[in-house]
Amino acid sequence: MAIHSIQSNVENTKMQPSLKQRRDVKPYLEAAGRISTEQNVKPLPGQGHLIHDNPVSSVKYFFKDINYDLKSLKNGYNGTANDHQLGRLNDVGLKLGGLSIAAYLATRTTNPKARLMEFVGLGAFLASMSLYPKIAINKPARIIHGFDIDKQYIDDQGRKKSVFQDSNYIPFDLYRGEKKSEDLDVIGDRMGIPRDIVNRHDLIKEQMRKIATQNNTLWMLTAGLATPAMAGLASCALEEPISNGLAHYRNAKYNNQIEEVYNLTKNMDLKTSSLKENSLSKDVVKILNKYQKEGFLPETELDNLIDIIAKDFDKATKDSLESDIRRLFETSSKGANQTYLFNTEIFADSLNLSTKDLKARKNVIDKYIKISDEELKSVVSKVLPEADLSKGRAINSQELDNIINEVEKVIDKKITSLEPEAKAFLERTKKSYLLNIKDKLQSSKTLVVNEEVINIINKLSMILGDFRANQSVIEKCQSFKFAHAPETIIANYSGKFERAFLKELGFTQKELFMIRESTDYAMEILEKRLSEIAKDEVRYSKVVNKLVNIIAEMENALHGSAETESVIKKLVIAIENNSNNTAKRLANLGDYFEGTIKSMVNEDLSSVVNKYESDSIFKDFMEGILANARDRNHKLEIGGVGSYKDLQIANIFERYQGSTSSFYRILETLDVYKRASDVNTYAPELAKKHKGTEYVNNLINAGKKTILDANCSDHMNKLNTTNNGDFFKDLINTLFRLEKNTDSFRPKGALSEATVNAAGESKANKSVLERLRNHIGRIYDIVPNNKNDFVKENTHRINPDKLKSYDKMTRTEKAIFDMLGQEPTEFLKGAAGRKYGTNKWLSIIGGITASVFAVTLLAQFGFGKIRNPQNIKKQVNDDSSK
Amino acid sequence: MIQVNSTIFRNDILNYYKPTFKNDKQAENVGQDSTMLTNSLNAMAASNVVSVKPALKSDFDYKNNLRTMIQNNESVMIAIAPRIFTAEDTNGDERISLKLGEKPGTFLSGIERLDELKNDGFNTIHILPIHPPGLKNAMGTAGSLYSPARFLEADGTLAIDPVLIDKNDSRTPSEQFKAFIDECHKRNIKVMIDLPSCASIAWFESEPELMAFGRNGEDKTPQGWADIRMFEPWEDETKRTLNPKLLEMHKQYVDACIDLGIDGIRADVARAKPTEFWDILIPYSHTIDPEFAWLAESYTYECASPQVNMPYDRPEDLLRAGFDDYYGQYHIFHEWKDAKEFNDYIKLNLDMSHRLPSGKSVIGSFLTHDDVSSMTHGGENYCNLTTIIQSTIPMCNPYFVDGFQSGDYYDYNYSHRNDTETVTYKITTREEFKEEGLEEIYDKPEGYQEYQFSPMDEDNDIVKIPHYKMEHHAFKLDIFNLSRKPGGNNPDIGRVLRETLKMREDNKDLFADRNSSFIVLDKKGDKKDQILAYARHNNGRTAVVIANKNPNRNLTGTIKVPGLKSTQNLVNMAPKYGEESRFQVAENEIRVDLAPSSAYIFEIDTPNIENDRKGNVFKQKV
Repeated sequence: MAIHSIQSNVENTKMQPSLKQRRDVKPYLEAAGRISTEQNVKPLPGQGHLIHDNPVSSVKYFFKDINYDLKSLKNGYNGTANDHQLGRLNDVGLKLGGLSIAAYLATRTTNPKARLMEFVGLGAFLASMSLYPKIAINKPARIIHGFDIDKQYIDDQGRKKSVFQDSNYIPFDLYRGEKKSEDLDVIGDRMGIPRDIVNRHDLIKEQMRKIATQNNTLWMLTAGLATPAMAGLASCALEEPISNGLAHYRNAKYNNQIEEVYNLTKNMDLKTSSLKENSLSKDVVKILNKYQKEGFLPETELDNLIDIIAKDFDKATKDSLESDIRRLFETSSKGANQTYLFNTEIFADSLNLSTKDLKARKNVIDKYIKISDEELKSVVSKVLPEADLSKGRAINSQELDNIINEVEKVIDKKITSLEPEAKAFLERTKKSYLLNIKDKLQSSKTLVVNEEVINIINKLSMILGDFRANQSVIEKCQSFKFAHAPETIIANYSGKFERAFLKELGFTQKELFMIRESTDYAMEILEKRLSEIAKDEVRYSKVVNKLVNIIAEMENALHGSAETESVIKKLVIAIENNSNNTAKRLANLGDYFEGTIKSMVNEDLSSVVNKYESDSIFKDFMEGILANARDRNHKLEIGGVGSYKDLQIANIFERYQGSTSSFYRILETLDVYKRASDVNTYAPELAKKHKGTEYVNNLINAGKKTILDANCSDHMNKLNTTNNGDFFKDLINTLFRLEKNTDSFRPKGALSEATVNAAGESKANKSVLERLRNHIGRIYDIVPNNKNDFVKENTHRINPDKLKSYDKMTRTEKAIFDMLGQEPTEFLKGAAGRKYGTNKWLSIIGGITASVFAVTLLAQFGFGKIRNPQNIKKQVNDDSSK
Repeated sequence: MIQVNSTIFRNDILNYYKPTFKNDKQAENVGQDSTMLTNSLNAMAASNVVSVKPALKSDFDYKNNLRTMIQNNESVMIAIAPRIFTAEDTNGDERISLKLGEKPGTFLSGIERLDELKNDGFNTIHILPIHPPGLKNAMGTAGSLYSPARFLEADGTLAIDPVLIDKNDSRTPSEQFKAFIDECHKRNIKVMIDLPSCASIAWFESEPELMAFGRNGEDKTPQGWADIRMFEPWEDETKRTLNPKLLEMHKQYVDACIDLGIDGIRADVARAKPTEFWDILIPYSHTIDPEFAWLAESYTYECASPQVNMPYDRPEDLLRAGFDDYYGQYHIFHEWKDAKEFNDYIKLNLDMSHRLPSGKSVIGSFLTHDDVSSMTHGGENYCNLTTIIQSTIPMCNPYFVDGFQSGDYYDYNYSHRNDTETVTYKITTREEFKEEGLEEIYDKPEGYQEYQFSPMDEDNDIVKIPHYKMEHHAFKLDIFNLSRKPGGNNPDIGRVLRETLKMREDNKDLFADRNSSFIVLDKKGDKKDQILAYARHNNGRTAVVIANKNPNRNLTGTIKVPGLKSTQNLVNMAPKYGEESRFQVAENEIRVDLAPSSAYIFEIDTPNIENDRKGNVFKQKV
């Protein structure tokens, strides 16, 4: 059915001609022919220009952008920014906001690497925001479609903008063909748009608009996933180099600090007259001055004072300090100067009955003798009229007697009127009662504050203030070199060692997972992998070389270059000097702080010296192989507690030994597997002696198990040699094989030739092997000869006399624990767990990133498809028919 | 639910749209109720007669010089929409109800306001489009003025909206329009007609050869203007060859205009056609009438077009292609945050003039029919401020919109409500038709008769329904409906306008002459830079203009006027309005305390001011 307009007469109606026509009117729809405009006014080129892609313009606009952003910020602040400036401020805000968040988070951790990683993370995120579209979208789009969808231009106002930022606002007339990538015809060719169609540029522009919009949409869709994933991967990749760089920088910084504190502690002036005021002494004197007028120090203030002075000391030193200081205050009021602390509380307490006799007469005392609060006040006001007893006051013996006399008078008044018999009894009771009061008042000694005490405590504070300042630097340096935190030298190289070990042994992710889950599996696969490596000369050499290199690098990082004096030695000497010289300074004050001195150094101050003549001796000390215990000046025990100085030093070498022992054990394990790879050479003499290789195989198997799994607490179970002392001795002698003709005092392990060759020729690496030999020799001397872990001590000891050469400290279970290091099986298990976690995270994030990239790239091949391509064909035909 | 008195409605529709046939027999065939139609027409004729003698051809000497006037900044324009120019809204509901006997404006009735315009100081009328609006999917109940059903009739004359024609006058529509033009010319008022940039949907469908299509056959609707479609000026834009049919139509349009004695064309959205198009059409017009003037609706340089399916705006290209003046940006004067932006814009135009043939100019477009009423920016005082500013700035032909003279807010109380009368219609789908509950009405036996629904086109699943909504752009002159005559409640704006334009006419050497320089004056104490201060200087005469841009508060400051003597007597050349401002003359400066939106013009004796303000003196190309 046809539609009838309501006013069908309107639109179709033509006017009836009325004016005289001056010319013939030919219907305009019949007009034809091409109207060329070659001679006509052409539009002016657009104001502004495209930014060409080259390094010069990149640098130029980098600085221009910063300038513009600053201007925008200023205008934004003044409320005069335009839309474009506000848009730019969004980016500035993002960066500033990100920086603020990173800065805040950085303040929440003391770990420098974690702090730095907050900013690295932000940088990686911002970089990913910028790089992701460039790599995944812009470049492929340019290759596929022939133009840059991220093209920038300068508009007529001089502002930099993105050409395709708004698909409805594209300044196409800036594509003037100054470069091929800016020539619409060339772009059209790349898009495969026929040359001979009508209005080709229009189609090219439409395609550019469409492709850019599609790509921008793709960007928006994928950026949310890709940007954080990329940022995560980038941060992960940057972590190690940053860690290394930071460690290098910080190592240099702390080496300098060690040098400074070394010189400072070495040159400490021991004269008490040269001591200078410091913050600790200022605080302490301020407190004491407050009480000088009253002449005594309240007990609570003494506690406070000790807390301030003894802050950061260990318990033993702190106790000694407290004891010494208290004694100083108390002895100042002895003899004729004896004073007692008197206040309301003490006075009231003195009225309580303390002796059994008096307690038995309590009812009588309460009824006839006991003085009331009012009476107590009247006594005090009579004897000490101006005293403020709420704060207390020091009273001398005379004043004490006066108080007792006044109390007596009060009591006398009460009992005067009583019967003589009763009175006599009460007189006796009164005497006992008064004596009770006097005793109690006399027991409350005053902590006297006078000029002399203040002077000594002031000096003490100056000395300990200096000590603490040095100690603060020492502890920071010590922490950086040896603490457990991930950014420290030891921990950093432990991580490197662990990663290298895993890499060279080559585990799949599945294997890592199973190792993490099962100790048995860890042992099984480790044994298998080590056996394979032992049979492969090239692999073996590579593994050993790499691990030795890492240990050598760590030594270098710890001690400094081989050409200079060991930094750690200087650190230890600084610890010694700081304690020794502080103790000497305290001694110079008089005999006030003997306890403190002992707690700090526990040595004869007149003969205390540093005894590390050389780096070599110092390193021996670090590894616990100083042969003669009598040479050692570090005694760890003072009634069961080490001196403050020794504790700090022990902290260093125990941590050092704990780590290096784990490294050495891995190397020793490799060496054992290498030697065991040929049963004929492992122990030929024993094979002959016991008629066959089966015995040797048993030794090998037990040796492998031991080296992989044995620890200090369960030798018996691991070795399973309880009832076979001979086998045990053969096992130990083959497992910890010693060099022949070795110094009997300092035996050295004998390494296989392959291990020696693999370690390389460098001095540092050779030094590592030398220490490994020492380490093996020390284990050989101590572990099998220790009687603690074996039931049949004589059967299971190779040469018990050897132990006499080692000090007690070396023979403790803790020392053996440090010496044995971590079992390779556990080492692998821990390392595999960490590696598995990292790999899994990387595979998830990497998978996401790769998938997003793949989808992003593939999607672009579908962009820019021309709908109804037949229309183009038709236009070609139409055009050619004209 | 649509409630209409069907009989009245249909008759009114027919009355309104009865074609202006000379022969009533033709008309009889159009509507069924011819008796009623005739009666209605007779009734309207009785009240629509205008006592103006129709003129088939001009019987007086007249020569167009509009182009020269514009080049000399002497044209003072007012935009009018004829169908509302003299509309009679007897019941005060602001809309014109034909069924109630209210009358829209016609060309002939418009003549009665020409003396008023002349008296106000206008010498050029910009007539908004006169063509019959396309009614399909149109805006409002009368259709947009800028959505023409066609430009030309078959005989080459201008197509004229029937509503503009006095049905009781025996003259043809063209003759009636000619009569109006002649009356303008008799009063030395130039006539500039509005050439719409686009076509209505009905026209788009009927003459696709003229229209722009996407590569996949889709129409091209300028973003935001749903009732119109783009012409296709190109045959091949890449090769820059033009659409011969469209160009020919525009040539015939120019012919028709010049035949009627029209003095110039205001090209709506001039950027819709390319530079080359205008560079052919405009010179063509000059071959017939060298004084035929061209005003481009063009605002400012755009890097790219923010409007889909519409090219970017490039005023300079349009002026190079032959336009004599363009709209410019004064319509955002209220948004400029300080005097610097104002001065910079003037300088930008003066600078551009030197890259163009001399005489190119801008209109004082502080208010156009596309802008919200100046009243909304600061009331009466703000309107007066814009009058004085545009009368005193260089390179400017003042421009106003009908209604401004008395402060019309263009705030119609029927806005967006439904009317019971309409000529526009929508094509909707059957489904939408059902959703709106209209099917029920349609299904009644009297459905079509009652509600004027067209029968359904079941094959195409579409329904045609009347469009009753009186769309209107808030605070803008209504171009979509039959509305009241423009006008507000602030007649003093008209006084200020008259006196200002008179003052300008008397001092053309200062304010219109291209030789008159524009001198930016320094200030101090005007922290927010809200005081406009400039001088015009020509032939030794200097006028200084001082105005407060802020419509809300007084401003104090000191205007530096080099060469000014402390004895200078300040006499305001501009009409007085608003609150009092205070001035104090000192050596080389004027200290001011300006009332909100106040503006003053003082002639001062500073013959050397151009030398004294070197570097701040700007001139239009002479």
